[in-house]
Amino acid sequence: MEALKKSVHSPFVIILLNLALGFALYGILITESLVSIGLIIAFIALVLFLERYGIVNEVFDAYNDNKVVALISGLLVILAVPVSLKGNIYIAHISTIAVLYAIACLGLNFQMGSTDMTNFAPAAFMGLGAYSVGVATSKFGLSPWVGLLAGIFVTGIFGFMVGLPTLKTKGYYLSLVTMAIQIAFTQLMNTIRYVGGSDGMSGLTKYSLFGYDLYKRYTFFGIRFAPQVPFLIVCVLFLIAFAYISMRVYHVSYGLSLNAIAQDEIAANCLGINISRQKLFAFVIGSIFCGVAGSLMVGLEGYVGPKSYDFAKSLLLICMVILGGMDNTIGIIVGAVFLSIITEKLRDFADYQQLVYGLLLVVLLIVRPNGILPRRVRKYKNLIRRNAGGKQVEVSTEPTA
Amino acid sequence: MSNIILQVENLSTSYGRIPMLMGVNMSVHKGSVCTVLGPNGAGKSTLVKAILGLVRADKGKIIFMDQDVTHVPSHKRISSGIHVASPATGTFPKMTVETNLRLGAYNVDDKNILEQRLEEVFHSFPILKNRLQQKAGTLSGGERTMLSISKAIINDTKILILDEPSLGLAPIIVEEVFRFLKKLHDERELTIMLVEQNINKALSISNFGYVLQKGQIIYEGDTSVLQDSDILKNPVM
Repeated sequence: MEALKKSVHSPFVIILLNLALGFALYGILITESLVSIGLIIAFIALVLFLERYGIVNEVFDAYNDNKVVALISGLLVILAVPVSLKGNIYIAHISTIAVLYAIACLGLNFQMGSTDMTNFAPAAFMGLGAYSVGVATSKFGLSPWVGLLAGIFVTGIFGFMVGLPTLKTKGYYLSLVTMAIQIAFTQLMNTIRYVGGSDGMSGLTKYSLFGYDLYKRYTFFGIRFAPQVPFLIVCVLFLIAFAYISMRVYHVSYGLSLNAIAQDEIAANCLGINISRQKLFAFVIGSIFCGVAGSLMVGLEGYVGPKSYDFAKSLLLICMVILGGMDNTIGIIVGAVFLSIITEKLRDFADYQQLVYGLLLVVLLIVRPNGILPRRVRKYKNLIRRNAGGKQVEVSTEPTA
Repeated sequence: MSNIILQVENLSTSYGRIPMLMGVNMSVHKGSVCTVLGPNGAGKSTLVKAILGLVRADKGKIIFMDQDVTHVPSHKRISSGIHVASPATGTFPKMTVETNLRLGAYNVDDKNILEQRLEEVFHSFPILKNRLQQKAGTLSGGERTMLSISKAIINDTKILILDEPSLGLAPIIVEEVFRFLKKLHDERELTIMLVEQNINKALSISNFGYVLQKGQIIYEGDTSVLQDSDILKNPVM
């Protein structure tokens, strides 16, 4: 195990690891129901096993040390996966949904994971983004990209407004407030005739880029790709951008202060942290992430309706964040992708789908109560580490009393 | 600039209808150690909270560095140089010592200054250097108190307010904490406002004292006088 720990740090191993992860993802996506779920469980078991020997942390460190190699090879692999799906419409559809859920979960994490404010209304924000695109395209004949920008604006303002009452409420009360917002959103959309009422709006214009439709069958090198593939690639690029933002926020003082607020609001206040501003920041940026995910969802389905963004969807997103690992960007993406895939692959169980799904969740949470990739202990490269120097080694060799 | 760093004028606060402070007047001089003594429920902690802005002042003024801060939000008061350390609000037990120190440096933007001040922290508390990767909750009571005080060194602190630093500590550790406070004061001429129940220890390092009872200052004066006065012999104290 020690040898494995050391070898992880070479760039070559990182490329191999990225390839292996890519193949694992491809395998999970492409195989039939039971095999796929078996692969997911095997992956989680492997993570569990490796973590016992501290290798998972070592891998994270190694990726940090070899950023350039890890990033370039990771990018190539992650973009190769959609291409490798070729003409498989069903899998391409699932993958796109998984990627969009991952974006929404990253947004939810700012509130749930970082600041410990459980928001039960992420689906409402997704819905707002989706409706913005729907209204912009069908009522005003604008491009869906304009709708997406409008969605960012609308969800940002709405997130700010929802954030205001959270300054006064905490814990269960906050959860109740957000639940009420979620239910009110669904009911409101059901009754507003302008946006189609309970039928929603269908046949909406889908995204296009530089004159090319993103949702269209293209033929390259004699392979007829599924219509979702170009859009999936765009969504993956969005996910990468948003994951980068999340990681940056986590590492600068913003993320740190959010964690401090989660632990002890008064203590955080006593360090000079502006609690109201930080909480509102968490709400606004989280809402924008969810809104973008919702806006992109329209590009896949061409439909927006109240039933797609109800309370059940919010619960699903919360499950993804908890299962993936709160406050761990990579963990959340893993959680979102796994749960989206599991839901789909369980269709073979027909009537028992929900039962098996619930059972799986319960078992996973018993085995990994903190998520597949739990919150990591913060580490700092410069400053203190450099100062601490050899002192630490000296202490660790001392027998503990 | 006058010699007074913190001045409280006729301050009154209340929790709902229950008055906690009734017209408190006090001033802390630059470079002094000022003690606020008083029995349980006298309003000592409320006074600290009012100075920090965690409790709204009904009447009166709080003047910090010649500026009226009575209506300034608390995070701004703190970032302008008030630092509070107490067992209750000093540390984040689930975070590592390193992260705690980073959080303490929330208002320090310049990395060079931060590095220099961390050096000073490790000079003063060598033990923290060995505990960097440990969760703050696993530290001993004395170490935790020192961690919360060390944040005062990291920040550009004008006045350090200590809310019952001896609470829940073994007498020998209390001794150590107070020895350190004295050193901190002597070396850096740091202004300290000490809110304590441990009368003897508090008086041993301070030069000016206030006695608070039922929300009112009933005595103020030099500690040498206070030590001999009858007020402290009152069994309620």
